[in-house]
Amino acid sequence: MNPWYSTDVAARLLNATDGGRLMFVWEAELNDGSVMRQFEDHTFEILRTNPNAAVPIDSSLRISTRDIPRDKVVLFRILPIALTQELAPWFSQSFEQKVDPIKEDLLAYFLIDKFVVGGPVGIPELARQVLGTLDRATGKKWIKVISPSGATKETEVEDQSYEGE
Amino acid sequence: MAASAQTRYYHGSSASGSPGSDVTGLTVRHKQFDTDTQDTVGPIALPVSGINFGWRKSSKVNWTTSPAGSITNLRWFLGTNPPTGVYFGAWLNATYTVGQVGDQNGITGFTDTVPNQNTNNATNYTSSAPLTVNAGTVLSNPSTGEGTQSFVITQLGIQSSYTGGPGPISSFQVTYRYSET
Repeated sequence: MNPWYSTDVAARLLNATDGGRLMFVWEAELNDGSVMRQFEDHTFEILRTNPNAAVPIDSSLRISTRDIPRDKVVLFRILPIALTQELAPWFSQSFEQKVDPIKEDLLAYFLIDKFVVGGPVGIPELARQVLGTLDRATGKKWIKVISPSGATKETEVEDQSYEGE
Repeated sequence: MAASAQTRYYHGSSASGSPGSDVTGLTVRHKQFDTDTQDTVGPIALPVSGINFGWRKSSKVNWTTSPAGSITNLRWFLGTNPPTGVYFGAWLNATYTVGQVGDQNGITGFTDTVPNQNTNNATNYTSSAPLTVNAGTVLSNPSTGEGTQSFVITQLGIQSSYTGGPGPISSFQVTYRYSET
């Protein structure tokens, strides 16, 4: 594991963001010019600007990426919340994924490691952000996996070692 | 919490009657007894030759709150390897069987022969080549619970080549990995 995970700063960030799930908020641009967001606009903006704002971790208060209309999304973006920018300053920029809705499906999910024996550094689980595309015709995937430590990995195969990341 | 998960280890004569205990954050001790407790009950003796087995353990992931979307592609792998001289087997089983004395001879079809031990050696399952528990959808909103998954069965054996001395072996890491939307 990356030694950053054993720091108090990492523990604070992971605890405050449900294991890293909510270090970012997402928005999707659709082909009609509209924008769909994970949270309603007021909450979205507060999370982006106020590091003291509590992240709503109740899943009933946020929209799943599964609800994004796959045949309409042209651009997907994850943006670090203010707390992430403060505690993990390597995340100052957003990550974007362009999608051709005619031939591609958006891939956007959390990759969760659930540790037995308390985890390598005492954390019970770790969430990584995954975004990418699936070619409908070929079934070929391309994903970018973003670890809370700041490490990123671009791959076509989901099963990877994230040792040190 | 969103999609809070537990790792549950099952004990007793019936999985439905004894729905497992959450071991999140705990070390699970393999032994010749049907508990996970870190105690001296049922130690696995160092054999003069060959291998001595403990009793099987059965585990599943249990979600106590629903994901916003779904849980898919549930996998299992070793995060770190067991110490030298320690065998650790892992395989899937749709049904539950309690850990029992007969396991000490090796479990038929899984750890009873050297070829079976090799096939089911948990070191075969790494983060880049994990044991696929369910490649599809395990659980969807608004459900909670275990969803659709088999038990991951594990069994530990001490080989005569083990040189670590008496007492607990060094702990090693097992990991469940899944995708969540």
